[in-house]
Amino acid sequence: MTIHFTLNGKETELNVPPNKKLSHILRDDCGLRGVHPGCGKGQCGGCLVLDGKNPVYSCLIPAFMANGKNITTIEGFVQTPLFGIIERGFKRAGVILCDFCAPARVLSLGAIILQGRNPDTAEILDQIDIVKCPCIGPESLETGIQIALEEHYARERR
Amino acid sequence: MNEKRFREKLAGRIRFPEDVSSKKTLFARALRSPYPSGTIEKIELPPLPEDAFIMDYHTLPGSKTFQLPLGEMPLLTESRISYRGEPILLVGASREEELNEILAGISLTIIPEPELPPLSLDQRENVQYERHFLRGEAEKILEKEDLIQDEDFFVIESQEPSTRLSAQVSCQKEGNRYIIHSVNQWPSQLRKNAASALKIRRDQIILRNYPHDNNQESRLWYTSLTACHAALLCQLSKRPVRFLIDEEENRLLTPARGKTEIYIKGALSSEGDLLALKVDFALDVGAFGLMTQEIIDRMTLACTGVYQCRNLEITGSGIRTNRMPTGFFSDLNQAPILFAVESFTNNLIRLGGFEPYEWKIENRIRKGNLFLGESTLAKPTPLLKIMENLTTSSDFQRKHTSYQNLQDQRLSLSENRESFHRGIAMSLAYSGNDFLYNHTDLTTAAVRGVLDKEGYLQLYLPIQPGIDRTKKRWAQMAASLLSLEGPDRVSFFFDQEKMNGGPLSAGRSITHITRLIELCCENIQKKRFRDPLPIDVTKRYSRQESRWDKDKMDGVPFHSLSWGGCVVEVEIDQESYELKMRNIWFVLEAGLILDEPSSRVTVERGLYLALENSLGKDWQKRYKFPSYQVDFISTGNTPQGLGGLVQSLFPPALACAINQASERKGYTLPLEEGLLTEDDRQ
Repeated sequence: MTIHFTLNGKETELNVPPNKKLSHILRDDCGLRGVHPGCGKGQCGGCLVLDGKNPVYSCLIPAFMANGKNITTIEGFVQTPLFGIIERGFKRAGVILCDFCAPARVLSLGAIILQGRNPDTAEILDQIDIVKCPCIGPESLETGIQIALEEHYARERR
Repeated sequence: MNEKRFREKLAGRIRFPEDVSSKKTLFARALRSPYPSGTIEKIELPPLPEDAFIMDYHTLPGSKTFQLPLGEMPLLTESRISYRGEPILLVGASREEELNEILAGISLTIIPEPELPPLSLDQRENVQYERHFLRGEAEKILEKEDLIQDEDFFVIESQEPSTRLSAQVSCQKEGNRYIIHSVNQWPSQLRKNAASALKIRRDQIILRNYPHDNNQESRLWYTSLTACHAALLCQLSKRPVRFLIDEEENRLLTPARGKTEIYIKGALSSEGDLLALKVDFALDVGAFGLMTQEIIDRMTLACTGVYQCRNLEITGSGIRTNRMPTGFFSDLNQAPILFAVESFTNNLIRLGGFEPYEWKIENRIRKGNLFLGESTLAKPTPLLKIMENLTTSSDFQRKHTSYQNLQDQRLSLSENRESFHRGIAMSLAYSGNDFLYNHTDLTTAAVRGVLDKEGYLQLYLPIQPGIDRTKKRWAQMAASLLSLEGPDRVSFFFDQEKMNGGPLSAGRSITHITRLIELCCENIQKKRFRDPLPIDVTKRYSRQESRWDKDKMDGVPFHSLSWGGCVVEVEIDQESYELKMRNIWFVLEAGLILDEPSSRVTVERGLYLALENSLGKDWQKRYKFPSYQVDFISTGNTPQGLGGLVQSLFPPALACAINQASERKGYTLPLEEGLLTEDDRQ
């Protein structure tokens, strides 16, 4: 079937088979290699993309369900100023992520900022839990997120 | 890590083997056995398109086996199935859909057969390897002494979490060379096997190695097997091949830590001396029994933990089953034994009425004591400092005494007045760096350093290390040794032509490579003022056979030892029986810490895996990641491995802390769900 959706800010039309997942379409048909399907069960979070402002596991979503949606992958998110804020936050906190989960971690934090939330520690830990990669424990990641959020809200106040 | 690499990583621009593609790409998969045991009777193929390719055992062009230093297995099954998921046929097609249609159309007739008996200490069939170690008169003492305790422990099969399809591989031919794109920690083994499977020279296999994630060690050999499969189809089809592994296959084929059963009997004298230990253990090593000798001997050596015991009787067996062949792990399977031995020792000293801190101080292994088989410990251990630091930071002694008094009161009054119960426990462990078995393919390593005319240093390593911060520290070290202008004058390359050697598991990355870089730089520095630039130096490491007698278990088994201690404090709510890990303290001695933040990440990752091993796969649904503190103490100038230490330390400390809080003992890893519930209380 043919679907129409916004992908990284651009109107996109694609012919998708009914059995294909969004993660595969994004990688194979759209060439967006920053989407990293891993477990295929919505557990690892490697395939995370943004549906509007919400993080979703693209390996769980049939591609046709993207019809009419606004999907942002890491390739689109990099173009926004938020990416630089997150990059600096992670760098300052000494966050060492693996190559596989790093884009998904960025997107999950991007979702918090886009939603205008200023979460407490417990909420941040819940958000960290969206991506389950054993490459890092939550402690240093939480610091990185706090720094990025502080910078973002300081900028907004200015 | 340089800015560009850091940015590319966050931006998802790092590429993986599965990202390599061209218009002529052949998509390939393996047809795998749906049964764990059986015999292939017939394979019927559907009509194949012209551009489809099939390879089976009989059409393999070269060697039909995949070889590891201590074991081998078939590249493709001939007729007898040894485990579920064993590859039978390799199939390639121009489109993925076409490939799936062919695979679905293959009619495979397998006569299922009964599986090999499951693991048990009593069954002696299918023993791949057995180690019997006897010292002193354990049996005699265990019949006489008053305080004798025996317990059984079980460690259930577990898989390290995997977040990516790391066995995916691509292969293309350029001239007479095959370029393999893979994630691999043991390049020499991949090239050796692929060359012999394709019947070509080893220098015709070129590996483009991709960054590996942090849990690649259990897949140490597996990615080489899929790389051989991709290369075989590439040779047959003369086209680039993308070998696919789906999520289900990834789960099925990620080598798991086998189930372990451990029986321990021990005797304590009235003064608290650990007089004798008898340990029987059996490990499920899966099909083909790969690396069994290394794993069983390491486990045997770990049977006394870090305590003095002159009388020992240990029997360890590796049992073959119809499970996926075993993988390697950062602790090379020491963790299950150390869980059992530490838990047993804690239970025994409690039964004897001894205070654990004092007992551990008194009975810890010291310089000159017999330790690790028949070997005598030549250097002092840092155990005393570890325990002192642990008890200072955690207030262990006071808390333990207080919680023990509360527990005694609860037991004598048979009533519960508190809303929560607390427990605290300490565990100690060591970790041996490098492999035990001296095999060229396992234990050698080399580093080449070239200082060029412009004053830049190129370091050629046997493998691309996974942690960028370690590389940064190596660059700083090399720049300082050679008085270069800065670490940015040092660059790293992966040299597969000359740098064949073992994998960087078992702490080898940090121990051997750091030392070899140091030696290279020192040698270059010596030559610098007499020889013209460029100066090219290669330094190799190989083990001296004479240091370890594997038959008598005598000598120096490991390159070096890392030591550690852990205290876990828990609280159990008496209404909900909810477990809360109040705090965790680690004190670790792993030589010189090159870079503390990356060492902390290693500890955090180890704790993550230890939590999964202790509390089960779904632990994150029930528990938050606990807060923890790490204190690195350093007693040497050379760095040592940290990897498996946390996994060995945490489970017994958690089990014993729960025991103090709940009066229940944990004999199984992951700890049983019922350990905390009211119904199952003893």
